[in-house]
Amino acid sequence: MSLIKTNARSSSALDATILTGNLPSISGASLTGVSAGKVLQVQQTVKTDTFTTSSSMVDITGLTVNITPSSSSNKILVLSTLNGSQEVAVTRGYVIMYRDSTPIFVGTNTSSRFGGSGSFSSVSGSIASPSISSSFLDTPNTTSQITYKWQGGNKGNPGGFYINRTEDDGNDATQIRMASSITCLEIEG
Amino acid sequence: MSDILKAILKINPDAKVSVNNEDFDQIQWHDGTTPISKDDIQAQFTAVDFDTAMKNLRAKRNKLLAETDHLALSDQTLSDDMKTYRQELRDITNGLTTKDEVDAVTFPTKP
Repeated sequence: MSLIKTNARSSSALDATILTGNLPSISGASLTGVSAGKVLQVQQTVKTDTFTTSSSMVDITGLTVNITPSSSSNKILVLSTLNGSQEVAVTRGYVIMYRDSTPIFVGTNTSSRFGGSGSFSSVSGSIASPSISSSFLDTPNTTSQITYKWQGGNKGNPGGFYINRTEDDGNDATQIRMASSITCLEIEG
Repeated sequence: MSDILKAILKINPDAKVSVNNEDFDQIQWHDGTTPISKDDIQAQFTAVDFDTAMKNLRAKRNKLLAETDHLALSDQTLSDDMKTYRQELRDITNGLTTKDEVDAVTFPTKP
């Protein structure tokens, strides 16, 4: 049974800083008296298999999250980690985060440069690139279902782009297979 | 399982294609790329494995050569043993035609 000691009450109000004992187990969505910031729902997708492409920018299969905000004023905190690599010799591997068909969390297009969310930078075919980690607070302004997803590819350079594996991906114990994820938290606005 | 994407690119270097989970049933052909049959893709696996093995062999060979490059500078005198060692490294890919042959390669001992 949960127990909160009642001597945490000051002369005017409950003083949460001196609460002791076992706090009750409650959902953050059940909190009252909090005007914003509550986590209302969490959706997550973890991709543990591989994806490869030679295309410019395409959807990364199996790495999407659907979420339906309960209010148009709520925000979505998108947390993601992508693991993988690119073909070292000839290509650059880029990724772009999307909400439905809209690129989000991207740099500004400047002259010939395009706006992306991150890139892989393997220096060897048998070594994975450093992870691409991202956190983005989105304001979708909708109560319809939305889809967060990643696109990846080599953006016009010939060669391979790899998720959750190295370029070589040799069948031996020195080679790693990895996981990637997207986690979406609906935050009360 | 060999690499489906690399096998496809060996047949058509300009192919725009995605492969999920190394699964023939999850191949997506993009930008009008003409699909290639499973049999034709699988027929390239041996060549793809050989290419990968050779690439790794060359990378290791190049690293070993680089470690002794400073001995071959014009203001250094390269010993005969070192000349032989470096030549054997350069020649190490000669005559290799299969992955098994590449895997069986033994590197010369550094003097």
